[in-house]
Amino acid sequence: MTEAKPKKKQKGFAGSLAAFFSSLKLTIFLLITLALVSIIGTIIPQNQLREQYLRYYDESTYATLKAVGFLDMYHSWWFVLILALLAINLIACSWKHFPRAWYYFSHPTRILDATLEKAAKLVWRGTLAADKAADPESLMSRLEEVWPGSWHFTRRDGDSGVELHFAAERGRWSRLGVYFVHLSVLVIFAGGIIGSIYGIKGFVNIPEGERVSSFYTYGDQQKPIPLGFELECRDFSVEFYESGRPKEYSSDLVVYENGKPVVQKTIKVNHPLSHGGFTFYQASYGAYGGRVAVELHFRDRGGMVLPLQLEVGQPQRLPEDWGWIEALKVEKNYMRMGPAVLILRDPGKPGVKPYQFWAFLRYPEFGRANNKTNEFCVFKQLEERYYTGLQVNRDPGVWIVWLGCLMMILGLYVAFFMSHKRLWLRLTPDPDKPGRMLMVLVGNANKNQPSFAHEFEAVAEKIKAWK
Amino acid sequence: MNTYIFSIVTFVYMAAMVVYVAYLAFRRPVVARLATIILLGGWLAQTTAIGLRWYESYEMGIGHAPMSNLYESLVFFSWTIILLYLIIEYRYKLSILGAFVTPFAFLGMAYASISPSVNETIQPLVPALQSNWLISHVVTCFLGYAAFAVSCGVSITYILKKRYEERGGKGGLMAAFPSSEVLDELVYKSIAIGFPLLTIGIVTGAAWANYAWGTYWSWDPKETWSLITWFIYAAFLHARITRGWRGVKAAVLSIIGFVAVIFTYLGVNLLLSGLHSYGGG
Repeated sequence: MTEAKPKKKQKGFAGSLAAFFSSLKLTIFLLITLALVSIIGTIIPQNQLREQYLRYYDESTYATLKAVGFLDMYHSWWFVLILALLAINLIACSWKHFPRAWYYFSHPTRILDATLEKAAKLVWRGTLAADKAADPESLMSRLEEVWPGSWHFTRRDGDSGVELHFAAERGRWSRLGVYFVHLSVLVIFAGGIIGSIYGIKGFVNIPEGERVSSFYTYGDQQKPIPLGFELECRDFSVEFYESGRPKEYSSDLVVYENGKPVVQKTIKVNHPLSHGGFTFYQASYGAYGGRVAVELHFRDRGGMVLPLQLEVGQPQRLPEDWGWIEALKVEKNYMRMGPAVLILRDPGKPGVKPYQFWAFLRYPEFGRANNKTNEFCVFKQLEERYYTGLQVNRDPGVWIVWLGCLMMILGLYVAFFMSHKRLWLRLTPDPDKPGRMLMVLVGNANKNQPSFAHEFEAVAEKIKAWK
Repeated sequence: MNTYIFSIVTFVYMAAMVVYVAYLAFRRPVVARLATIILLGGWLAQTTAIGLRWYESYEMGIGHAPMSNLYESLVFFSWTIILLYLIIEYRYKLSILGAFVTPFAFLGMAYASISPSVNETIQPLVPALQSNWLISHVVTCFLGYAAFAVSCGVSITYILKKRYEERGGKGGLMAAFPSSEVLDELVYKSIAIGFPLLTIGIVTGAAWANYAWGTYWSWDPKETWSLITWFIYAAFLHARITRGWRGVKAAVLSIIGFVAVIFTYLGVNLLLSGLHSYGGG
């Protein structure tokens, strides 16, 4: 102990720093810290507009939350710092322990010596006629039958004469599984970083029948980003179940390169289109202008019916002094009752205010039932025009992330479910009985020992039966 | 029809739970055997009902795996817990744990059947859920959750047993339990099963999100809470090989881990808002 102390001092600051960063206690601390701070961002809504925050926070709370990074906490400097510390911890830890694991991995023990025998939990002893052991090659093949694996044979001179050592192992890789998992975390980090540097996310709305050649990011909605090709939305359609729940959104997209159509694909949710490094996802839709046919029924004026064609968003003047009418917007499935149009009506009479109401394509009687006014509107026909809302994404890091994920899953499997199993068999001349050999079988598994004990017993039984 | 069977299954699981508790008190092998038979019967009925519900959805023309809303997920969660428990009981001959694991399955079924906020009708899939990822994502997540439920039950048993051993206890109820080392091993084993499954669940979820929304990770509350759960169990796995963290402290981490699982599963949908709202209704 007295000798160890000065040795420790020699390490100095760098040494204690290394010890700090490679400690498992730091790992546990960082993981628990990450778990705790991550909760914040699930309670405080992230990345919303200032106006949205001011609905539930006052100005000073908002300013404080923004200053400490709670409004975009997963990208705040301190959250990234904890992740970086975890990465350093992981590298330092692996750096410290890997050489030892690699040594065991690359230097398999092929000799069953006294130390190994003493430490072993699984030991079986027996004897064999010496002539059976005369040909080690045939013994090897018998061993391979008993316990398939690559058996190694070593002959050496021991105290009591020639010793024959046989050694085999399975699942040596499992010792490296944990390092593979640690590496995978770094690979996922790398993929995420590459994505955040070189990737881009945005959106584009394309009206049916039109083409675009650029899109916008969520941050800056003023500056268009060129795609390098043109994208056309030929058609958008939405289907509903009878209950009114959405069934399917789909857009017929065509890609044009130099004015020529090169790719055509109908995209849906879960079925995006990839072209030129970008991927387009069905994200939203909306009404874009369009034309509606309505009938304006007058209760007075002799029950007169006035058929009208309205362009959405364009006020239309009615004949005589009957005022104005406008279709403000069209909804495909308003209140789960199918297509509806929001009408703004200005009767053009002094003292009567303009008013708005919804007219439903499937329920013309709704308008008729309204007796508050001396006219009502029936929605006859809808000439739909929609735009499709696409999420546009380019992420060169995503394949690295998937590689990391695959590595992690394989690594976890190896680390948790595979064990390094080893068997040794040693034959030495029996000092008491000439013509016989003493056999010692030793087994070892670094995990799941009880099941290996069964396996070991079965092997011992088979060797015992050798004639 | 299927919901009718599910409500019967709820009572069967309650009966199994009561008999497992009775086994704690009487410790007669015949009682344990009875509990197992009741539980297995309930599980087989539940399996049939899940198959039936799947079939019925096709009859309705909106065929999909019964894993698309809160009701179906609660039923599936209970099903995986019992499946995993029956395997453990068979392999390790530990009927004594039944009293600590079956309550989770019973509570899941009871919540599904009784709560008025849980809609038990078969509903068609909204566009985002129409994906081949649905089954692999849901199955891996819930198998992981079930493994964590088992580990939580065993961790509670472990802490009780450890205290009992430290008092130098002899006789009494706790004597019937396996030694704390065996329980500790079982906690580790169930987490060693749950952790890779949770990892696959998160990865399949990310892959699916990338297909549906174009982002594999958007720090949505559901995603974040699954990651929080992952962090806690990762801490557990490291705690177990660290001096000063073994034993009771690690067991407490595994219980906290399961609290995070429950919050990820139910709390997020009921209390927070986000993209992953299918499980809420």
